[in-house]
Amino acid sequence: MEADPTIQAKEPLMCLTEAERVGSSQTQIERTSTVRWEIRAGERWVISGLHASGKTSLLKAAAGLLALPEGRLSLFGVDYWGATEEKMCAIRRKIGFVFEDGDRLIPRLTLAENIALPLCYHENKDISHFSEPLKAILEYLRISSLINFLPTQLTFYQKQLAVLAQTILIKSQLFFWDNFGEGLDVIQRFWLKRMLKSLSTGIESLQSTPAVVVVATQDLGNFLDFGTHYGVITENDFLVFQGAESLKSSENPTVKKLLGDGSEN
Amino acid sequence: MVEEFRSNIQYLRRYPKSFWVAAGVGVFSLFRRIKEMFFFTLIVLGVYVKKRHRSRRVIIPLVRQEISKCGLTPLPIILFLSSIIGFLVVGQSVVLLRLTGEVTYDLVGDILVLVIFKEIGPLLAALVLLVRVGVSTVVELAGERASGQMEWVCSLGIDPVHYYVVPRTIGMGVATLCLTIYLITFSLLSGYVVVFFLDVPWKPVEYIDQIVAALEWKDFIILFLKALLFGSLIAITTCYESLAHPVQSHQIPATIIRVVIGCLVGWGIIDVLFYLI
Repeated sequence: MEADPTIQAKEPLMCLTEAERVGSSQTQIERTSTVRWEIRAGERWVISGLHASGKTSLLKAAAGLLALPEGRLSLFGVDYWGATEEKMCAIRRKIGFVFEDGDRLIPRLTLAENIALPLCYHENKDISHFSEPLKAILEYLRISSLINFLPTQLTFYQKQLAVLAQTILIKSQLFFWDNFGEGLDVIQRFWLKRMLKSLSTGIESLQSTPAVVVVATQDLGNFLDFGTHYGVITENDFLVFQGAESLKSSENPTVKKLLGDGSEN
Repeated sequence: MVEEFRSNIQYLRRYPKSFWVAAGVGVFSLFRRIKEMFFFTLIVLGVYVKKRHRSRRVIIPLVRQEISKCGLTPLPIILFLSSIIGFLVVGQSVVLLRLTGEVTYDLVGDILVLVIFKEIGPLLAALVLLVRVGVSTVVELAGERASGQMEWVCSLGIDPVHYYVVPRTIGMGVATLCLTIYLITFSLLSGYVVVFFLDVPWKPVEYIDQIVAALEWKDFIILFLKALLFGSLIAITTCYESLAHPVQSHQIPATIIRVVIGCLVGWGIIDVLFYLI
């Protein structure tokens, strides 16, 4: 999909404002503070917070998957919740999202069918039309041998790679990954982190355009070499840091706690 | 205010204070469900009309898949039941006519058309489809909703009503029509076997003539519409019950019961409407 020419380079891809009451629905925690979060092209974000602080809800709200009771969400320069169905659909095609549990592939479709589903649906084309780029992406991710496997035959890691493959195939411009690293071993996490870095700069061999990557994790210490920007959900605020140095120098107790916990570096 | 009223109704449903309260809550819930089902049907129709030319390469294979699943899976049981029904209806009619001293058996054709063609055919085909496929569809869709596949589909910009409900509605409607045709055909064939064994002096052509004489052109239209509506109702009810509200795994048995009751009530209403028309 081509980038939207109407969007100016400096205009944020995503702007979430006054998102009061964004919080974890499961734990009934509601944030009363005002959130203002802007994502611009070329950035790489790491969102962190303590357990049940509302990371998932914030990410879903930013990706337009969770309706905001109050506040406004602008995606690619369009007021998302005020847009027509067609515009919403066009915006959705530019956004990739890996859910917390990662296991969302449709069980009756093969890996290839799952990956190509959005393109087949929106462009009204057979899967054979995308077989070449799909094969190249799966080879790049080293899962080409699984092309005809059903999701029940795949491991958790392979399912996450499938969603990553889908993001590359549909050329998402904004990519969210909720609870990154959960359920994966150190090598898999390292490999995926490298893939995400490549995705954010664009993968030349696959002719993929650079995408903004937003990762939510509780393991902030392991992402100091990853983000260009960091967002930390504290007890009553959403703090934004530019670069790892400003994050490290923060005196906020939540930030300190998140940086001190389980760092593998 | 509305939420409070709803939660009160939920509470009274679980712990009714008296029979009349339970009856009142039951009637209220029934009307609410009928209203919600009506709006859900309108949404499905709206999506079908608006998006009928969109994503055909994804939707048409799903429709085909649904027709083949719903039209072929219940075929053995349909053949068995149709043989039994033809055997019983024709056999009992012949015995009854003999008891009344009838010697020409002209009424057998009328009875066959009235019972099998107009009433039992579409109803039994739909009932078999509901038991054989509808129930498994509830489990499948409720599972997909619970495990987040629907949310994933929505996140990809795919309309869940277009992707999940429309193919099932068309597929189950067409499959019910096909099953009804199989059921009627095999009932009539098994009916002739009974005629043969009960020494009724009919040749196959005479037997067919009796049936043709009892049929009118509007019977075919009514049969076609009834079968389509019965099948579509199964799809709408199963999809509504499993997709419109979040269903947890322990709620699946209750959801299945609601689907079965909903379909039976719906078929009853459609049958009465056709009778009145």
